[in-house]
Amino acid sequence: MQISKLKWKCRKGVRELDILLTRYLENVFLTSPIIEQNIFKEFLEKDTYEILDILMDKKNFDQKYGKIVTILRNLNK
Amino acid sequence: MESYKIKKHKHDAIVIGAGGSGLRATMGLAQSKHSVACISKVFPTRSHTVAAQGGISGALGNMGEDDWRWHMYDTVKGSDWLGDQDSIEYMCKNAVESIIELEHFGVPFSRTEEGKIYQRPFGGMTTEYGKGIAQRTCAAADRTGHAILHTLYTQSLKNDVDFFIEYFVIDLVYDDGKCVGVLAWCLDDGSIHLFQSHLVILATGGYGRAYLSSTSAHTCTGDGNGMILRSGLPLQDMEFIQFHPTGIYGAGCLITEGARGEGGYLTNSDGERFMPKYAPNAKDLASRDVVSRAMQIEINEGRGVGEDKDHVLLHLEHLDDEIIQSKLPGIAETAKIFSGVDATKEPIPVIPTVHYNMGGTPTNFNTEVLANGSGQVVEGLMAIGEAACVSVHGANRLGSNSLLDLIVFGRSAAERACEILDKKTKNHVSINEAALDKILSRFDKIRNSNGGIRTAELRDKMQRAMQRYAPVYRDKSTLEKGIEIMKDNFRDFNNLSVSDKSLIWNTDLVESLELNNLLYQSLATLYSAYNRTESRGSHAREDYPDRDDKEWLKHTMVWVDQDGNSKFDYKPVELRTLTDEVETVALKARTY
Ligand SMILES: Cc1cc2nc3c(=O)[nH]c(=O)nc-3n(C[C@H](O)[C@H](O)[C@H](O)COP(=O)(O)OP(=O)(O)OC[C@H]3O[C@@H](n4cnc5c(N)ncnc54)[C@H](O)[C@@H]3O)c2cc1C
Repeated sequence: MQISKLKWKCRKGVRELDILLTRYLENVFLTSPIIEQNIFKEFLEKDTYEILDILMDKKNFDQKYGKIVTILRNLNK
Repeated sequence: MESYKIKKHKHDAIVIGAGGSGLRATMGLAQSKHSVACISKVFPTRSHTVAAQGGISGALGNMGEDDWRWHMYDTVKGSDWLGDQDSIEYMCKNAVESIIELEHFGVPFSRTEEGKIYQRPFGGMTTEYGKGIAQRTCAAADRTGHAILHTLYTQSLKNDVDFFIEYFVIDLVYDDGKCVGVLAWCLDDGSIHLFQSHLVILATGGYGRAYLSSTSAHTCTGDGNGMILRSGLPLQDMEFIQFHPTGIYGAGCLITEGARGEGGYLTNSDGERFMPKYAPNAKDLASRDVVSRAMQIEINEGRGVGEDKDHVLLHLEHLDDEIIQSKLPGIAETAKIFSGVDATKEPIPVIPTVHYNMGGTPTNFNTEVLANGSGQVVEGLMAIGEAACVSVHGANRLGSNSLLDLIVFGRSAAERACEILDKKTKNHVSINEAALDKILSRFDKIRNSNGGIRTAELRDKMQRAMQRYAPVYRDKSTLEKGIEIMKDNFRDFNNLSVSDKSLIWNTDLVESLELNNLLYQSLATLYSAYNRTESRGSHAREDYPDRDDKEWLKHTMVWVDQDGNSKFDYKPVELRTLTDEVETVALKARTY
């Protein structure tokens, strides 16, 4: 149920994010430690463009998101 | 069937959808004395409108002389004369007022040095009936849709609106042919709800997800159009699907047209800047279908780039870094993340990608849903935004005209709804239980599907078939094959396997319901494309390369029944304008 809910929350209205966040959820989240899972859940709650700005390197962000951001930026390469 | 307990709600009007169109209508209704509920499957500011970057058009004339009649001319020409001229006049004439109104509501538009709203050029937008290039598109930096959604949502909250967020509308409820409400499922607690109303306004957006490569977010499944077909009503002009010339190769993510507005251009494998060959005047700024077709010809004739020679290149590297950062923020980063390219140094690989659905639920210019080609109105039902076909975009939409469509017709839907509601008694009809049972038994059947094919697998088959058999260029044999495959896919839905049987946050089930809506619309698209034996706007038939005004100056109305069979009717294109303030834009060949 929880994954299912998070999958819905990965729908941010913008294709770029839908792709990256869903991919993270399906490929990284499940094997992450609980603490990182909780950070990802928090990250998902952010506004669509706040996440985009962070990924596009246009906004400073709390370093606790550092690992997630690095993974997301490189998921498509 | 399991017995589902139904919670009941009553409102004067219900808006399904909280994107730009739905929120504008909701806000308008909220300012009246009538009660309104807005239902959305995603949080309002996560609706797809959030993705609109380029801007919203309107002849404000802030950057030089402009006139709504020139805008109207461009829109009719852009539509390849399939747009209804009464609706187009209404939209272009009301653009300025609607945009100024948005500014007053709080949308932070970008400004010129004198403090006016900044306007940029956009494909197909001209001055003096095609002579010059117009700067007509207003933007709030590169996040116009985001700004509009946040503003309209905040404004709606200030008024008395009941929002039902993360509720999925399953189907429309009718009483004797009149729409009297909707049945919805609350994703968070699994409860089922009947929303009764005198009027339902569909604002459920487009169905881009029917294709594999599209610029649409995952939420764009055109659910409202699926509901219309299941109600035994037709959809209009479904053969017209806009391909955006510059989707990032492999990912679909969009590089906005603003990039070419600011001086970007396309080249083929010979390094040739090819657009001047196809559109000597507008060049890279010609309208979307013209640019997409030119790219496809270059690729088909072997001048594509890359290992498979299946895409072309978009150059921005000659522009000042400063322009890229200030006027096109996010583009360099998108290119880097999704194609690994530094756009300030090298070109971006791009390909025509599905971007917009001109077709949808047929309405008159008052946004009331039509039951057939003779213009008979379905009582209690209205439609707006990308879900609707009003039809202002005809065979091809001009960039930045969609946000305008949302705002102008969202506003007029609220006005029309109030006129209708003013004349109504407050009493709601008593709902026929059999109508609810029918909807619930379909829901229950899908929920308990134990067949052999998973939702994601069937969706992938559908998307690949649409990509292959209903692309930029179509012909009889590819479309025939597409219909055959899609009918199989449609039937395969009965053999679905839905693993999660719960009702709480069951995304497997939501995606299955969405898939059913997509399958209906995919069939409607293929049938309509097969049926229209001419080329017009975005519908390019290799076997019928010319526009045929004698036979085809008419809208397609298509029905798809529960067995996947089709039926057609037609509606004449409205060539008459609404008032004598402007003359009909006479038919002529569409060249740029
Ligand atoms: C990347 C991109 C950029 C674009 N840029 C521009 C631009 O610059 N200018 C322009 O004019 N146009 C642009 N467009 C087009 C424009 O953004 C869309 O046409 C427009 O936003 C659609 O708005 P809408 O209100 O019709 O629907 P949406 O914004 O898609 O909203 C649909 C709403 O319906 C709800 N919904 C759907 N189904 C259900 C259901 N079953 N139950 C409950 N709720 C449901 C959703 O939750 C959502 O709230 C762009 C499109 C894309 C893809």
